[in-house]
Amino acid sequence: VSEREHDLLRAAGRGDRQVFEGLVTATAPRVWRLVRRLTPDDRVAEDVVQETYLNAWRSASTFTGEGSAMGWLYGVARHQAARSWRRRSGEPARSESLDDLGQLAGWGQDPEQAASRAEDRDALLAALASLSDPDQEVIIHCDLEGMSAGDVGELAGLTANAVRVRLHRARLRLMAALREGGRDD
Amino acid sequence: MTERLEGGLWCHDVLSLLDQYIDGQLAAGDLAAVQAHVRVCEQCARFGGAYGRVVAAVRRGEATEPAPEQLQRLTARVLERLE
Repeated sequence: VSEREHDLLRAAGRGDRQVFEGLVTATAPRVWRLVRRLTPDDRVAEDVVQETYLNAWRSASTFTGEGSAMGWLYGVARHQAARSWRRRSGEPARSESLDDLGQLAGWGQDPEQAASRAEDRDALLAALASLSDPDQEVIIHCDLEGMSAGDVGELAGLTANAVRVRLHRARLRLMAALREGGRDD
Repeated sequence: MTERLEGGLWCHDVLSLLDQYIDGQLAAGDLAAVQAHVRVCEQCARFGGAYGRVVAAVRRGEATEPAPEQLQRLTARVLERLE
């Protein structure tokens, strides 16, 4: 299946609209499942899925053929979901400092604040959307999709240990973003 | 924060092992050391508990299947809008 999607995306990149329609039909359920996890309701998810495919159609020619077609589509979808969130919340994208991640996450201070906010789905999605693409990606693959570090490493070209390190740091940044969001309330 | 040495580990050691602890991937010796540390270090116990709650909340994100008619409508809209 993945080879077929790969070929479809390459052909779509050459402007074959009929092939792109086949790609949409074949991949829409999986793109929906990812997008729905990153959005607060069906209506927003539908908008994000539409924008994902429209952007994919416009930029299919940039798909180099390295990596999987689904990985590329997921990247477009995550970007659109993050844009959608920022547009709705009116907040600019934030990039967290790499320093003192533990303390930013509340280590030695008030970690319960982040944990409490994580129970609020909208707050959790806002915090997730504020992370960098690689941080979102590792959390989505490992925690939402339940993939092993080894399998994620194969997708990303990393060792399993590098994925675990990245996941740990991404989770701390997520906690820091949750705390920061709580201060904005 | 104040660093403590408990169970043979400093607080920053516990922080570095926290992910493996939450995911159940610590070797027996490290697991025993982390457990000994958090039994007496309140700030690490609190942070570990909060960290675990955040990870659990993320994992609860449910896979939502689109209804067939919803998927059909969505696909049709995308195809209409292709330039």
